[in-house]
Amino acid sequence: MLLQLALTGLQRRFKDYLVLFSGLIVASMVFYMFLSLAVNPSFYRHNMTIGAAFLPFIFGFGMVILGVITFIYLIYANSFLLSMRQHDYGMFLVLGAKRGRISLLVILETVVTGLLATCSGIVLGFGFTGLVGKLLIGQLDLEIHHFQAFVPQAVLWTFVFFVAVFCFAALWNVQKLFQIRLLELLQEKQKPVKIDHHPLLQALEAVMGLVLLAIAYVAMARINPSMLMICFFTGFFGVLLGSYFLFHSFFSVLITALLKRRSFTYRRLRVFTLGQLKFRLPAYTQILTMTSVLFALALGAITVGGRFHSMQREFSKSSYYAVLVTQHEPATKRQLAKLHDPVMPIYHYKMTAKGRYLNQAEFRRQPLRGIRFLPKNSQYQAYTYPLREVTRLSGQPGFLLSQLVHSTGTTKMLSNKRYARLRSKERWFQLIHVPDLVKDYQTIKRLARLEVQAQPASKDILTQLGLTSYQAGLALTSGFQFMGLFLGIAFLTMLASTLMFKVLSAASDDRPRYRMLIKMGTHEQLLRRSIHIELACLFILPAVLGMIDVLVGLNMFTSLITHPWQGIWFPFFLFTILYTGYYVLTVKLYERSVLN
Amino acid sequence: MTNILEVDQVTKTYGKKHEQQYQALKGVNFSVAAGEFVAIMGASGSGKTTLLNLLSTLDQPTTGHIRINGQDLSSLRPKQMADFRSQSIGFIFQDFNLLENLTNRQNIALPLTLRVISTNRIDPLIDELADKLDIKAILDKYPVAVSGGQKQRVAAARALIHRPAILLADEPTGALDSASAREMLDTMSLLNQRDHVTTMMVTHDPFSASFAKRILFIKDGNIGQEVNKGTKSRPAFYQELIAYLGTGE
Ligand SMILES: Nc1ncnc2c1ncn2[C@@H]1O[C@H](COP(=O)(O)OP(=O)(O)OP(=O)(O)O)[C@@H](O)[C@H]1O
Ligand SMILES: [Mg+2]
Repeated sequence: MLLQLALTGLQRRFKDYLVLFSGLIVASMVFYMFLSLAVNPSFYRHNMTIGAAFLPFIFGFGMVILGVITFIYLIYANSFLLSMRQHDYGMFLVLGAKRGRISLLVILETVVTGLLATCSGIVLGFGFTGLVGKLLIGQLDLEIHHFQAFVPQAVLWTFVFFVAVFCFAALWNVQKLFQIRLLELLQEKQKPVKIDHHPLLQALEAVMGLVLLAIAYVAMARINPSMLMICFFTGFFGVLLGSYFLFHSFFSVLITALLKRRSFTYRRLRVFTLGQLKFRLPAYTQILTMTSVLFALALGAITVGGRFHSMQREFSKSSYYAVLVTQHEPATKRQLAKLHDPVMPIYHYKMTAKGRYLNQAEFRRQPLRGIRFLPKNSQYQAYTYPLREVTRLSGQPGFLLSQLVHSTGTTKMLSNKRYARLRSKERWFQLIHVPDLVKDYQTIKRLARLEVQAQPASKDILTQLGLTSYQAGLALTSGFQFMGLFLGIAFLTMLASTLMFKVLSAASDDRPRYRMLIKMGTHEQLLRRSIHIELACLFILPAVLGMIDVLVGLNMFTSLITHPWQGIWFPFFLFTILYTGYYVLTVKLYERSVLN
Repeated sequence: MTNILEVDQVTKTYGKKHEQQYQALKGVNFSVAAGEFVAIMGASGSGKTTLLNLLSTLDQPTTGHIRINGQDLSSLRPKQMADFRSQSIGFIFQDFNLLENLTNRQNIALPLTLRVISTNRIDPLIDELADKLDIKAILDKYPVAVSGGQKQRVAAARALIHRPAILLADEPTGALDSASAREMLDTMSLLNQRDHVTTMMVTHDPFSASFAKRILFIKDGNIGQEVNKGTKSRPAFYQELIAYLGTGE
């Protein structure tokens, strides 16, 4: 009987739930995707390049962020569901149901909703994991022929996480339900609009909101490594609280001031639109704050993720030599011939029990080059190693040589004559530099494969060269790019579904107002325009605030990525389009429920 | 005297063709002259609200014609109808229907802001009317902060601010306690007598109806008897109504 009540309850509110549901589904979908990519055995089974080793870390990181946000979202969403059903629960109580039974009902409803959403999310997750996995494998040239999208471990933990959070939310709701008196439960809907906070208090809050935001922005813009954590937290909580006060008071104060200007407000429906906003903005404080902060996070995730991608070329420049060969078999020779403008010095060396010996004349003739990073303009620059440094073990070339021959002992540079006198057998290695690694990537990769086949001992040294760091960069950037994109999308759906839900759940309260205006002879066109403006304010204010947050907040990433603002128009554009889509949908649904 | 309102052979049938149909009005005829105060009385379900919705152009009659101020409503297109409503008709409803997000003053201002009128003429008009209705002190409060009787007088002010040709009231005292109801009715008859506001009120309550000058009884979608107050005092008229209802049923 109770189960039936719970189910009919769900059925009746199906549309409301559906909106909320979409957020939950996307959250669990992306969560599963990150988790399954993070622990995917396909990435481990094979002898992975260093690049792929970053993936678990990246997706694990994304998963943690998503987990935290999802947690907050679920708690929030659930208190919505509760407030929606509060009246029903009150009726059940009046009809003689015990609080214990009702608690059970609440738990059941919450957990059923959660399970349904999680299941659908995971199923969708299979598809997306397969897709993203394939894309990643393609981008990283991993040699995986069968990618595993279904990872039982990931399914299990996604379930565990979501069920745990839903249980927590359910208990939270029950606890809240027990605190509310029956009468309040029944009257929840009829609570009159709260009006007129103390004007002085409101003005104070408005000013405080601006001040807090200013402090947060300064903290984020002037972030420095020594106070990283302090700046970060000041920024985050400053934005959070500042936005809260702004929505709670600042805009109301603004609108009140505007309403006093009769010559402006006494025109058509302006007075009505402003009146609606004046009450709605403070009533929506929490959700607008959350929207604005989530919007900033989502936009930030996509922006930063996108910038990671554009850094791929940077990674290709971080080492001078891309690859090394120690043999000239025909296959290798063919590949070498394909390279564009390569620099390919061959160095000879001899080994004795005491150490390795190089021929100084050879290094004079074709100097060894390296790359250094110039922090001033954050660029890589090629330079010639001084001869002294070549043999120093702590330096890069010395280290390379020691790796190459797998021996301990020192490396010495000898004059031509002394070198010739050494008895031991002479060997050689050839370092290969190409001006554009991205262009020659495939050839270089083939060369590396041929070299490892012919000379397995070269494998370790290859990891020190440009090819590997480029591949690592590729994995890092692709990983971050996907993570940023999906995190962004997950945030966006959660946020849009919450805002949309909140607006639509108020529609039944707003309906009589619009009916009234229609009876008074207001043109439908005017009403529509008023709705468009009102909802646009609700959508635009947090979005604009969120965009400003991002523009300032990107300062925090200057040490991690170069030029974080470059190309920012693209995510902004993408977001505007997606967000406009949600706005239009909300407007359409809202109009349908208040005007017809 | 000119007729403000003419209702001519009006029927209203609910429900589409081939579906279950219900005829709520079965050929109603009457007229209201300028400056009259007419009450329409009837039991629940007799068609009062239906009739009022037709008069206020919120709904269209199935057959027949309605003319307000000489304008045939059936010849109006939807947009013109909205304009007509905002210019020629004032409403008072049982449940006030004030917009609680606006102050009382802003509520009253709405019908004027919908029309092209110079914005600095609006406040003086409101103040003048508020004086008459004794709501000047509460103009800048929100509806939740005032009593039911005051709300209804604010609603009356909103209905009259644009000087409509006719005031339509649907159970205006339905949600008021008896003292406030009485005050409201006194106000309405004062407005009618002093300012010649043509008023049509729908009610099922004989006490309210006794404030009108003429009463039309509606029963099962037909206007039946008509009673005139003439020169009788209001209490005497009320007694007569009670007696009439007692024998009529
Ligand atoms: N939209 C509609 N569709 C079908 N039937 C309707 C509709 N509106 C009203 N009716 C029917 O028409 C009849 C008259 O309804 P109306 O609302 O006009 O009565 P009323 O006199 O206002 O009653 P009350 O005093 O209860 O308000 C009723 O039998 C009602 O069921
Ligand atoms: Mg009625």
